[in-house]
Amino acid sequence: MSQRISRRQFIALGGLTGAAIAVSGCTINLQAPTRLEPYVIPPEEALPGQKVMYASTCSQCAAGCGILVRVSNGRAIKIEGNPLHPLNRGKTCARGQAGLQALYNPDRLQNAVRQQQRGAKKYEPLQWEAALTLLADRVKAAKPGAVAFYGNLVGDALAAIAGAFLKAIGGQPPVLYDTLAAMDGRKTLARAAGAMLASGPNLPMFDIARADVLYSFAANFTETWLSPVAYGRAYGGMRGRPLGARGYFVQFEPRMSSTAAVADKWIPVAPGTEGLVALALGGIITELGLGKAKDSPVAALVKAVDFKGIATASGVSLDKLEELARGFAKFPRPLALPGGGLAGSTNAEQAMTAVMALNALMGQVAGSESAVLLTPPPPDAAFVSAAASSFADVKALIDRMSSSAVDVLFVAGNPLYDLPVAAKFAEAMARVPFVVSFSPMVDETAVYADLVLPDNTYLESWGYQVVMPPGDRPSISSQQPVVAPLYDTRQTTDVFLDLAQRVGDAAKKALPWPNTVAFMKDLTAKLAGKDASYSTKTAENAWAGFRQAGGWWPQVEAKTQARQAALPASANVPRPKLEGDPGQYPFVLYPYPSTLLGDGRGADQPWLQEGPDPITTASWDTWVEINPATAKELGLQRDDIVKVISPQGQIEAIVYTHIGIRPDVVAIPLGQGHSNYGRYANNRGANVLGILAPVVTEGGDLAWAATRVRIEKTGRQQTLPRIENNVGVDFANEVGKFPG
Amino acid sequence: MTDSIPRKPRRRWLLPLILVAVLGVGALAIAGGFLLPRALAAPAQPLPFEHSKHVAAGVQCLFCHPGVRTSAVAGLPSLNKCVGCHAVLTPKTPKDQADADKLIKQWEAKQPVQWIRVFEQPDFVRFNHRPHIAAGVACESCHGDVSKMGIPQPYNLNMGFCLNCHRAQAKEKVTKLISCETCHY
Repeated sequence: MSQRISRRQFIALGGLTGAAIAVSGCTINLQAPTRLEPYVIPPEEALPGQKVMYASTCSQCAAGCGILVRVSNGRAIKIEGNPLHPLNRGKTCARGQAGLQALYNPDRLQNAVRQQQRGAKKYEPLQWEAALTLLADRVKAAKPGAVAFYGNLVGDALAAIAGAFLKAIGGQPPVLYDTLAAMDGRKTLARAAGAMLASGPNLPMFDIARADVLYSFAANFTETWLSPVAYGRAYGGMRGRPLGARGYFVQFEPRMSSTAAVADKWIPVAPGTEGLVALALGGIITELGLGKAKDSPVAALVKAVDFKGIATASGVSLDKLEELARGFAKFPRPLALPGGGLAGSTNAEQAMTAVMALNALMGQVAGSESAVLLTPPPPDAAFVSAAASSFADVKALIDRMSSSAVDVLFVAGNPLYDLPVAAKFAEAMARVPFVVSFSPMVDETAVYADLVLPDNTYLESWGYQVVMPPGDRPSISSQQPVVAPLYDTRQTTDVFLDLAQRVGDAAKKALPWPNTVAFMKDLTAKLAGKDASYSTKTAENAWAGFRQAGGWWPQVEAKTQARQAALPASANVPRPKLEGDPGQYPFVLYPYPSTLLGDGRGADQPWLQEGPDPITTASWDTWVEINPATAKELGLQRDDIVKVISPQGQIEAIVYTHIGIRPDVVAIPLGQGHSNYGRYANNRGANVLGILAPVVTEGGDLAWAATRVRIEKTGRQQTLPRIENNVGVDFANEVGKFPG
Repeated sequence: MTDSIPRKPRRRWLLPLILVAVLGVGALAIAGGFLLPRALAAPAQPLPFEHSKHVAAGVQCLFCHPGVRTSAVAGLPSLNKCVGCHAVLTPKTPKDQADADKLIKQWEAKQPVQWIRVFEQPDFVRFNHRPHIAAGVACESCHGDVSKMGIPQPYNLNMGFCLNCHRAQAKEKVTKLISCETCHY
């Protein structure tokens, strides 16, 4: 531009521009237009602008927290905790919040489908009537006892109805197994505690809130263990007491979980030796005559303990053990938690028994002031919390399938993702003539099913959940649809009730209800006259209150004292056995449930995918946690892609160097590595469950932390998505301890 | 030549004048934006809907917007309500026919229409239709005479507009109607 603009002209132009903007501001709407999208066909109950809250039950894990779902114009828009519910008292975890995305997942199946060739992924839509006729014919044609059911441990209504159906037609009882239940050690804990407290299949209540000293043996109770919201609240109670009365908390775990991160002390014991440490603590307390230990009958069980051997095996020095023992016995209310991490080793049951024995030694399993309590069961025997099956039950099912003893298999879970490849479920399933999946979307197992009858999501379903482990009182959470089903899907309990009408008189008699609502009405009629915060004068009252309040529970807490029914014959804990030659496979693989994705069932929900893991702040991928010293030895750096090779297979993962893990252990979170679980989950990271050796504990559960691995470089790198900056972690890695 | 080149007389009044003009226009614009109700341009909608024709055909406001009686928002009619009539109506002109066909096509595809919102209050205003309808305020008092509009024209329903009416109510009601927390809470 040759023409120069003088200062004066510039000011004048500027003024004019300003004026032009000011004038134009009057007419141009600077806001982007809002779009209004009325329904094509509105639900009848929809009232524009009017929010409705429905009380229901979260089914993102098996804890059974009460939720309130805000519904506007017939659309579920927010999930919050139900403040009336005695278990979670209005709180939820991240997984509970994300449940809306299970409802709105765009990859949900919208109708029943069948496929002619398994694995072909060519689905033909099917009318429900045709699908149910086909299914009924197959069930009727099956050999006696050759109908089997495999499902997750969520939803007591389904477990009850499917169980009654199978019993009526002479099938085996349903197998209820999922990885989260296995990693929580539900079955093992029920056995170990049940033997001592005569509590049967019911789990005891650990009164964390009132504990003075809490020793948690690999219980990641603020993340996923059993009932994390309730335990998180209890933890707040323990820590929130005034100075001097504040509870002291030690976590024994090979890897620093986020529960270990909030502990006063994290003791990185070798995997599988947590029970040995509990035994040693009991032995030291007895020997030194601390607390009331001398008078305890348990003292005889913890004599002649090989302290030196335990110190060597666990990596906790004798001095340290003594210090820990003295710390535990110093206060009147110590509590030791037999955590889910114990269930991963071959000595799981003995380890949990040893931890319970430590509680018994301190007089904490009997008496009104004890820290381990039992909660009375619900008022009617019809309300049963579905108990987890052991891995041995799963193996028995696999054996029956392989020997062609199963003609029809119902799947309401995802065994092809959940089980180690070496368990050979896929091969066994190929020998079953007819496989039906109830997955709401096509998952890894449904790909190999002949018929997929999509279940409603839990926000569209009726049901109930007996809270287990219970809180301070027996409670039954109610589940009701908060929205009409989005698609032409059908609740699996309704499918079984319908099927019962078609397959014969025995089933018809056992399941006379036309639908789940009728079933629930009959069930809740048993609550008539029972104490509740609402009127239960008549069956109708009970049914209305049950839905409105979000379930049934007595108004006052009803803890019962545990009575020490029997002492274990021995509190001895054998050394853990590990699969794989230590020379060839130098590291112990420690898989752990993701705080967000759980055991992988949450991977279809993008909020959970993008949420950062509390320790590494990583998301969207699978990483392997390696101690910096180990990484240095192997010549690895953060963000290197490595192969993790077990005797059973291999996966690839991104290296995350972190001092919060023992040098002889590598840890990998669960949840990723889906090949078929919707767009948000597919082809992302790797599934560590696949490479586990099918090692079992003495009680027949999967010892999921008993596999050795080696690490191999691939030469490739990929940045792990993390939200932290690395300064603190790098510093910690360099000096070998955390700052501060 | 010793005389200097004659300089242009400096117009010292120019800069203040421009400033006054800019500020003045700006102040007017702001005052206008906040205080004067004013009709704005009607936004283009995804379907050529005309209110005037519906009103002329005798359709009552509450037939399509029943939410005003019971709820904070009026709501827009669902597609099946539109089709409830349009499936059996015979359009008079080819243009009407073409417009109705678009609607039917949308219905057959079961695709909801994404209307552009015309009347909108900012988040800090809690407006509720129900008490207004209950007090007998006619729709056109705020929305204008829609019988003469194709696509409804947005009005700047600002605080001045609301207060003009609230102040004109019965004496005993005015204190409450003009207090801040009636609408901002």
